[in-house]
Amino acid sequence: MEKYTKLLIVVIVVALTLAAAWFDRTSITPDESSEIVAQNPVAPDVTFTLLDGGTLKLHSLAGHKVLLHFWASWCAPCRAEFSGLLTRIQHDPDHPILLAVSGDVNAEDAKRFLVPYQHDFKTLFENGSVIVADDPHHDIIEGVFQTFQYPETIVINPDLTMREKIVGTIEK
Amino acid sequence: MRIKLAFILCLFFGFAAHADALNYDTFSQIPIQHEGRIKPLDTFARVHLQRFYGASHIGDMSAIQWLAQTMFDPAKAMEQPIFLVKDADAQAMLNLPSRSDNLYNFAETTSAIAANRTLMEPLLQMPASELSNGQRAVMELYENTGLFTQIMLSNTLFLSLSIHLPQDTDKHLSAFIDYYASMPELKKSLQAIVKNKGTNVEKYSLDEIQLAQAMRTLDTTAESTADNVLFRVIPPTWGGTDEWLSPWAIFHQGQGSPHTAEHMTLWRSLANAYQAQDADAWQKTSLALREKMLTVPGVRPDALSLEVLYYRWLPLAKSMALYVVGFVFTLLCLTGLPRVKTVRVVAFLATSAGATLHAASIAARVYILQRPPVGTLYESLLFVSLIAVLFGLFLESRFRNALGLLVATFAGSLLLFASQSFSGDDTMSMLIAVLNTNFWLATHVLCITTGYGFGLVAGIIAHVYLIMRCLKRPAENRRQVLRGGYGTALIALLFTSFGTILGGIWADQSWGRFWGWDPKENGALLICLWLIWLLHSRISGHFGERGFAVGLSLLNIVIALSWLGVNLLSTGLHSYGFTDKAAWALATFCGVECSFAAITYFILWRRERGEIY
Repeated sequence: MEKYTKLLIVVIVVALTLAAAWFDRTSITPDESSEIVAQNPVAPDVTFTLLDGGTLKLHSLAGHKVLLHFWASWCAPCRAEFSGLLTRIQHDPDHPILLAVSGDVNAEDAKRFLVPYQHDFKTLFENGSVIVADDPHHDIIEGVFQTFQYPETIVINPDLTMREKIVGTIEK
Repeated sequence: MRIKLAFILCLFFGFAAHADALNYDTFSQIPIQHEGRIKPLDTFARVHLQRFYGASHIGDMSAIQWLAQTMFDPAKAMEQPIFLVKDADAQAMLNLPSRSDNLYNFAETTSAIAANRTLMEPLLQMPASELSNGQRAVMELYENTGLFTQIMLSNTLFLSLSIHLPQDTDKHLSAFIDYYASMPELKKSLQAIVKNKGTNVEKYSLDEIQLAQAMRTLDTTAESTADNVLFRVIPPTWGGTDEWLSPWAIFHQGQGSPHTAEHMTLWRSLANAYQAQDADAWQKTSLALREKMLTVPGVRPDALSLEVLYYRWLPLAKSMALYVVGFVFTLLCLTGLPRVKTVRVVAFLATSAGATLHAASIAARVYILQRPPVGTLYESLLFVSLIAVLFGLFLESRFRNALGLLVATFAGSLLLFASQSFSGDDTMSMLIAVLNTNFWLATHVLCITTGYGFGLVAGIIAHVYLIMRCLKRPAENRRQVLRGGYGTALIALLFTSFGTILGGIWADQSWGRFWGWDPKENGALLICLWLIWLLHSRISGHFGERGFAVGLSLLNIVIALSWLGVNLLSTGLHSYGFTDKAAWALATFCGVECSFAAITYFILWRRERGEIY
């Protein structure tokens, strides 16, 4: 009996040691689970209808940092931040492109809202640093990018990967 | 608010009664993040149905069918009597009608809670420990209706609303998500109407009334879903978090992305397939959703399938049944009936089959949870019982005298039965941060619980010895049994001592001190001291066979108090094990054990003095 008891103890101790080694090896580190965020998914190549006519494919902006900005003329925070946003674009050393996608059902509302800015920031509009698109049916805003609250901005890297999403106004 | 909700839910289209033609196998394996872990929808459904209804199915309707109905046909789910309120005081407090099955539907419970708001408010402020049973049942019902609401509303972003607007005919609008883009325009139109005609709806045209009703529905839906975060089925894209999101959280918290859009589209298709009872579309969409989730880090399809199988097959319940069968046959074996050998073989086979299932269940849990087998009180009961059963079978294979079988079947069936009191809603719950270290769980905790297992076996053997001695079984047989108890006590001492020292090292790492006289630490020390005292007294001759056996039988009380009893104190740093369950059962156990020890000691003592034969 004693022989078997000793054997049993040895077996249990060995089993516990192996279990400790195994489980220690398979410990999950918190970083593994956030891999999806680190992957920076590529922005889809959607085609925008521009406010002044014509179309633009998002991937044609590859090589530039793009601020994909969703807004509407009836949205008070959007109106409040628009001037500051254009000033930021003007002074940003990365020379990003602001692709402002309007969610106005009536394009005339967006056009009316933009008139003073097209005057004050004429260069930006003329050199293509600010592009305004129109999405009255929200096919892209909600359907593709699932933006429901305005304003929201997605920062797109020059390699077309989406770096981050800013919900609400851009603070800094 | 919930009354308002009930009203709104009625506005989601209900669907005609139908024989459910859908296959739920794939749907049940779609992952969801719930209570910190990724689990299949099947488990999510079971946990909630068990919580509300007290069972994991409603007649022929499985938990997963119930979940699908609740999410995709909320108007119908509201009518289902789902809330079990057994407590008569709670029924009286909420003025719920008395019923034989004690079941109430959502509309009844929400109305009752709303009507008794003055009763609820002080209860919400009171600590749980000060609530009476009736008050606790009321609070449980309150929480359950909240959870049920969360599930019911989880997919209302996509469900068709029974509202009509003149422009619907052009745009094919149906769900909240379709109407949302038009809400600013609709609001503007409504404001214009109110400005022109005031708030008296009698002056409104039919179109204007419909517009006002639609706005109310849309506003209330948006408002009532602001905190709808329970149904986390969509992995995040932004923000460096690993917390999954519910469809409504994506909407309200601005977490949408092209990635979440694909998920939402699939969930919408699933809702449509359910409502149309389109079996092909349902299966195709379930598969697509499951396939999509397989690329998400942390999702393990084989673990999801295994978990669904585990809860459907309930191997531990079958294992317990086999132990009970083994116990009955062992008792038959001990009565000395003819064909004892055959009966013993049957008992051995039943117990071995039970142990195999038991071990497989624990292995499955280890695989699913990716951590050592013991992390909660419930799991410690499963593990300790397995240790006792395996050691009992080992003893049986050595001595072949039914002692090992008696130990294995008694400990196995009793501990597995007791484990049901500690299982909670989800038996595979997540560990709190301090326990989230696989190394220490696999060393300290397994050592200690192995020690508990051997200690209980030693205690049971001592019981057998005392009974044999009272029944005047042959001295040689009795001594052989007690020698087994002595050896087992030594093994128990080895593991509890080593485990306690390891626990000290872990405590030093986690809390900065080796020893702090915490109740759990004191309990572990007490087992070691009790065993050391008994073994030294036996070796030194202070205890004879009788004294040693009585002391060893009382070891069960020391273990039970150290293992489960200290958790009832709800104090100290081992807060992860706190419970208020089983206090009476534990007290009864201690009472029975003390009585057993006292009675057998008294009988043997008087017999030794020649006062009785």
